[in-house]
Amino acid sequence: MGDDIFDEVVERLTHSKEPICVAAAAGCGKTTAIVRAVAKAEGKQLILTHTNAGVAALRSSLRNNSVSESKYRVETIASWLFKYSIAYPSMSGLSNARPTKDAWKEVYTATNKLFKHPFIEDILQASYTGVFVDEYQDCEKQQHEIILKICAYLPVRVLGDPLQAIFRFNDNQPVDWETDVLPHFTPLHELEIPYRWQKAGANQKLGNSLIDIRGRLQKDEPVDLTAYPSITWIRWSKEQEIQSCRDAPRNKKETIAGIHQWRNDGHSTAKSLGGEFQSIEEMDCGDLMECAKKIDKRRDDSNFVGVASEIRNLIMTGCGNRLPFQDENLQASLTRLGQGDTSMIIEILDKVMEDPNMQVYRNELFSEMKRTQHEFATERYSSFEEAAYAARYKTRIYGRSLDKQIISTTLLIKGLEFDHAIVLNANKLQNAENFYVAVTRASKSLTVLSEEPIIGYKKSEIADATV
Amino acid sequence: MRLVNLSIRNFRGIQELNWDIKGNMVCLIGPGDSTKSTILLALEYLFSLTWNLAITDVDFHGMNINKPIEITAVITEFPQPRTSEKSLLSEDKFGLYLGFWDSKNKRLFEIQDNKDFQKALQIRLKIDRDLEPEWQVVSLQNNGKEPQTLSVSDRRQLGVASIGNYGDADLAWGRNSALSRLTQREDLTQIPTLLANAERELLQALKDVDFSALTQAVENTKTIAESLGVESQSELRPGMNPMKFSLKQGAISLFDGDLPLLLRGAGSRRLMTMAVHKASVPDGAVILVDEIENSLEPYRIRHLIRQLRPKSSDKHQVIFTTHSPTAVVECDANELYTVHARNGIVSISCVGADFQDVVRSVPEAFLSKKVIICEGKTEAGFLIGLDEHYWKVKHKESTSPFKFQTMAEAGAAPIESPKSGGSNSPKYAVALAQLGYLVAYLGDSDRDLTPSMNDMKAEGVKEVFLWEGKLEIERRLCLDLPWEGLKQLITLAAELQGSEESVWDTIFKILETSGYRFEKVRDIDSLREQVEEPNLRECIGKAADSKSWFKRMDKGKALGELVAKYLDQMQNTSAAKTLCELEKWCYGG
Repeated sequence: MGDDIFDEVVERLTHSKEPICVAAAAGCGKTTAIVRAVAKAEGKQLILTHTNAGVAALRSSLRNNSVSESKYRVETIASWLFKYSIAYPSMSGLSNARPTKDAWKEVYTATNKLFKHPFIEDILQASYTGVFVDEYQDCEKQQHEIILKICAYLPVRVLGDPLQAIFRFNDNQPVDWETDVLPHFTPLHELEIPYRWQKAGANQKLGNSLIDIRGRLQKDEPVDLTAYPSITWIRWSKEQEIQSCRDAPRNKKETIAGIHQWRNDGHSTAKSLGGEFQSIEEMDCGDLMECAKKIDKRRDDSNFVGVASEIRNLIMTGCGNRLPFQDENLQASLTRLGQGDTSMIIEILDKVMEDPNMQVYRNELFSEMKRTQHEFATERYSSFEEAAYAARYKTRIYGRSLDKQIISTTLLIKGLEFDHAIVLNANKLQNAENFYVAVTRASKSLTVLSEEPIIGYKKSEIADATV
Repeated sequence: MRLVNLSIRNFRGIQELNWDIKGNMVCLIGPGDSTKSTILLALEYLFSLTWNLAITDVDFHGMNINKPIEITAVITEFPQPRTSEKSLLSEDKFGLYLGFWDSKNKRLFEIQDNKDFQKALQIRLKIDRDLEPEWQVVSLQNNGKEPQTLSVSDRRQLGVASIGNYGDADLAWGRNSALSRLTQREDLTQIPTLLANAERELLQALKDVDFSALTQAVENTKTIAESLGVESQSELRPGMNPMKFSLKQGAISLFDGDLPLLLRGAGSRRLMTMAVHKASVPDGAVILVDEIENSLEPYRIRHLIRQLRPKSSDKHQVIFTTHSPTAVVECDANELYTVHARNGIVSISCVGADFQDVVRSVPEAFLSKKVIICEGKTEAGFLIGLDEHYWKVKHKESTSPFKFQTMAEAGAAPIESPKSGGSNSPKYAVALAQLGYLVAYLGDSDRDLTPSMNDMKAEGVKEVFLWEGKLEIERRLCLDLPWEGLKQLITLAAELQGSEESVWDTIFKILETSGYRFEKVRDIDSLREQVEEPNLRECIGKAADSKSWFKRMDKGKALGELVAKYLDQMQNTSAAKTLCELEKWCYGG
């Protein structure tokens, strides 16, 4: 990348002392701009983003560009703020050491209280010379308040794309770019050259089509999917959802994502595909926690067999609730499970996997179960649920690696990049933002399934969906 | 950096100590075995720049290895990190472990209520029975956070320097030395090159050394080698082994002209080392010195203390111990801290401004366990003489009921009250008692005491010894000495005055003014025939007092030496009774 606008943006990101913001379309070099600015800037930069996937992507990009690790720290806003507020409970008032879902609001309130104390300035300045916040369109208003406080101590640069603001649901209140961001941050030139699709092997025409689609979505205009030769349009049917995945150009090196709006649709499609595609978990990994709770409940009467069946149904294909009881080894494991040895759950599931009719379609959940058992075996936790939280917490921190072929939702794959993407039911996508996130995931080929070729969306305004 | 609190658990003589350090100039004083040096050593270990410490089982209090040694300090005002050093305040170091120090009220808080509250860190050295030292930062918040390791380079950043008796390493450009810290990092990186070059030149120069004395040996070796079939590649010859000349870091040291500074006197080296340390951490070194007076003349001690004392603009802190009255006098009473150990429980209290004149007047008192405040120089000298010539001898006998032979062993010191014969002396006794010392008072009863004997005891003075009969020591002794001893006393007085005549003249004059009629013979046997013995003794005592025959430390001591010869014969006298009680208090356990 070397055009003048891009270079100027990088220059300003590197040296600006005032708070600045950059709006960037998907695949237009936002991450590259951050990486270059971090490499050039003096001292150490704090890079915040919203999801662990985003953290992993930024880290690998920094590493691939040989930026010294002493020059940056990448974290999610949530975990970074949590670290501070839990370290100073007397000032933050935070007591919940294991926040999930709604409890995170308390963390932000707590950090806001904590950041009123003068020493915070000293710690921040002793730690960093500047701050980057990526995906700023997803920043909640409470987080935004804290970021504004940090602006008084360090140069803060925020980057994002208002058209990818898909976290607007329930009482989640992300910033509004116009009314919240622009009054406090000086805007630099928007990044809108689709670099991602100009790389070798990528589909340059698809990139250009996406810029055109972006323009239409921003103006609330309908999109004619048949008008773009670089996009494959298929009329939607339940069967086509499965078939289009099977038809996708598959080889071992390339990544494919089938994209739904809703998680349950994702699981169901993955199950139907018989383990060829893996359905990925949301960060809280609710099903893991549920399973752990069930195991805790059954620990008292030592009746795990039922739980083992339930878990199997959650993560494996194959019909019925029955386990293949004939196998001798399995029988022994079941007996030990009956005696309360939770490690047998994993053993039984491993055993079951040998049956060619049963395939795991939620690999991540399965491996988290295994890791939970591993944690539990250390005897440091009083319950399986606690062990599950600890296991998942480590994943949050160290990141996860995804299978090559996955089925997922816009929320979970936002910020990720795949070779091929299949939007499995465009009519179910809630708004322009979800649609834009879905279609911009692939660099080589995009397939969209919808009832009609022309499809129209509205940009989201206020909470209108439940996930 | 500044130390604001130190606590020690189970380290050597200290079972427990918790000390709020109020000042930036701290002189620890107190009797021997009060663990002053242990406190300094604990600090030295806590800030040690080595990976390991020479700890053995005997370093655990009472050799109980089941209770870990814990040395914990709260520190504030951390030095600015040098370039390339990571700030201790950064979030991945100890930025999330802070507490807040209210320097006005000397209290530690979890909440930074006020922007003047300083950031504070709690650092700890913990040694378990495995003898592995662990340096950690322990959160000052109630957040259940695991302690985080305090690495050697973190400790180096704190800028704490301990000045031992051999500060030699600090006068060379070695690893962690103060001189290295004083040197720019870029300059420091050139040292290995300098050393390598020097080594090469050295070896070059050594090539020309005349080895002809070894020619025959080489010839012989050649023959042997050939007989064994070992062929030399070129020519066999003697040469200097470069391995023996490898120059290590620290090989470059400070010179004064052609002489390394290391060859200067120990005192000069110590002074230089301290100066270099102070300069090497411009924004606040902590300098620890055990026994600051070592190898220094009194004038240099005083100068050194003045040099080390932080001015209002300085940020450094000095903590030292001393056994030297010179050092004590040079210190402000607010800078003096007395250390007392009772069964391993150690307490430290600041002497404070109220005691300023006590410090100036009787500095020695602060260095003893038991103090006998003597009203005058005579008493003080007398006790020293008696200790040396009577008690010491007596206590050597196996029948002695006392634990200690000499006053020094018992940690007792007779201290003369500053204004001899002044009515102030009881005040000093009370003042020292309040500072935690064991204090007795020895004086005349020829006038009323302020405070009174009872008030003194109420204020904590353990014993008050007064010569019976409202008498000064001289008059008491003249009444109680055996006749032969009295004769010797007059002879001694004549010796000390350097004039037999003046001694006798005084005696005659007192006898005359008392209305006695007598022939002026310089012999008390004859005088006794003319004046009744009690009256004669009384007059000689008055003469001794009025002409100050013994009112000097050395003269009092000579008097003690004399009485030592007769004390056994004085069994039932009043003076002997008083001395017997004093003996019990002094030498008892």
